[in-house]
Amino acid sequence: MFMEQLSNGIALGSIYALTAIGFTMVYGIIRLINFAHGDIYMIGAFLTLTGITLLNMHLVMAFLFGMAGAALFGILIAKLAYSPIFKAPRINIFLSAIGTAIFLENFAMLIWGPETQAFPDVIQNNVYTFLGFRASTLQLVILGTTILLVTVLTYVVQYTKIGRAMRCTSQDMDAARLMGINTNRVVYITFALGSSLGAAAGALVGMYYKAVFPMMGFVPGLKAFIAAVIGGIGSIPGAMLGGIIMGVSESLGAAYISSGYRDAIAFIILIAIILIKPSGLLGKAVKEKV
Amino acid sequence: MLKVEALDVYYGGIHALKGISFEIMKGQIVTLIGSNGAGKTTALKAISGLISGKGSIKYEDKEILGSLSEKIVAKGICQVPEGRRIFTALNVHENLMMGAYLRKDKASIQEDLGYVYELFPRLKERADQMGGTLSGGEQQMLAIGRAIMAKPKLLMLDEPSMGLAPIVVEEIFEAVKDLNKKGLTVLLVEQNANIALQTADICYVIESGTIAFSGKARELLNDDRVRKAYLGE
Ligand SMILES: Nc1ncnc2c1ncn2[C@@H]1O[C@H](COP(=O)(O)OP(=O)(O)OP(=O)(O)O)[C@@H](O)[C@H]1O
Ligand SMILES: [Mg+2]
Repeated sequence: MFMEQLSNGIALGSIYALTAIGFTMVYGIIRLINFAHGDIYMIGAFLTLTGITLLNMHLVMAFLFGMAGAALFGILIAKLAYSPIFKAPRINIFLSAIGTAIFLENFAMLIWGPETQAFPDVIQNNVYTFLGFRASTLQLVILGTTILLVTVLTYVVQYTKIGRAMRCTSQDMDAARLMGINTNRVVYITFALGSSLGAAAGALVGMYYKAVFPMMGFVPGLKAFIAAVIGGIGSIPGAMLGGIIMGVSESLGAAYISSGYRDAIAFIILIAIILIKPSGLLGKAVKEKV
Repeated sequence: MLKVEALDVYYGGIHALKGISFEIMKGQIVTLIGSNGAGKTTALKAISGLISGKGSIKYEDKEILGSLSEKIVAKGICQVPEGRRIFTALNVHENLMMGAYLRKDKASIQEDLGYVYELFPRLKERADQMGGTLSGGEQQMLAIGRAIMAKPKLLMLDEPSMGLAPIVVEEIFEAVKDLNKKGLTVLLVEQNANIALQTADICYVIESGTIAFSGKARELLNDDRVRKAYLGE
């Protein structure tokens, strides 16, 4: 049972990690908690599902379709909901984020209907045992996809020109502009990348639990945000670590303590870590910008 | 080369620049001196396109007020901002290469990198060191080096002497003079009026958002108004 819960926790944690990375990237660039991010995850799941059922796409194609579609949504949100009020007090952008989240949920209900839709069995699910570990095909697919996407993202952020521009913009936007970096473009690309990872997480969850519905992003969005804070908001490795910690402790806690406390566990970890290290596990204590 | 006319800048209700005008000719070192809060940094920010304003800023006879900052950098106007603003999480070499962000001419980028390392040998020794771990003087050298890497035609420096030991200040101002001899036009913002006047050709004195007076730097060194207010005599 322990091993089963552990691999379940790692799968769940991978999904939190993928979602948390989107939160952390957007926060890193424009210091905004993008509350619409959980709904991007939902949009990604619906688009992937539509790709499979309506457009008869191959699973991988449908996945890429969902990610690309969500990236487009991310850019539109940045352009329409945040960019016009970027210089306004933070509270305005925060309200705009909540408004965007509500809009996306209703948009999904309008397009895809309010009911839960079944995700088809696209992958034959076997259970493998090795060295005492037990994992299902789906769990391995989730972990594998996460590792692949995070590797690609890390490469982009660390070794490409746009990645360097992203890091500079996140550290000091005005200094980045003085280098000739088009920081607006960097912001849009960040939204696109973060949204596509969130969409991948949503699609994987749809596959894992075989269900997609308009409110599916709400709780995972909240938990991914907590994962990002636990890891140190703004830090990509931190978001991954936070996600895995959340996933594993949640599924072990649900198994050994009580499944009723599943959601409470996330908050208990959050409070404990914030008390011990306010900037998060891998976060740098940053001075407030003036 | 650069002509600022009747430039007004507001921060919300604060009228930071009240219609200032000044001009920079090609090849000159022009300095803008003034006390805290006079509006010097604001003027540089407006030229770099970091803030908006009303009036006119013409660069080589073309209006640049209202242009995007990356367009202004691409035209050859680069700024070494107040407080250096180097990228602390990048190493010295990466910081310098960020300066060359818009350039594609690989060979001449390498040439300029060599020049920066020649100008500031200490940067070369510390090429792999993180920007955030450099001393204040080294950070200032890095910030200037980073701006040189953009191959500017007009270099704007915002208080390069701030917080530095006199010997380091001297080193930095020697480098600025060296750059100017090579044909670079310089706009120098300073509170250290003494060194600014000794370095520059033309000086504008800015007081609470307006140009109080201006003149040849050499002459202003002996001007009573300057001696009283800015040279502490
Ligand atoms: N972001 C801002 N918001 C509001 N007011 C500002 C802002 N930046 C500058 N100011 C105000 O504008 C005026 C000019 O400031 P500026 O930074 O240009 O002065 P400065 O001449 O560079 O001073 P210092 O020598 O201290 O750097 C000051 O009164 C300052 O308080
Ligand atoms: Mg200033």
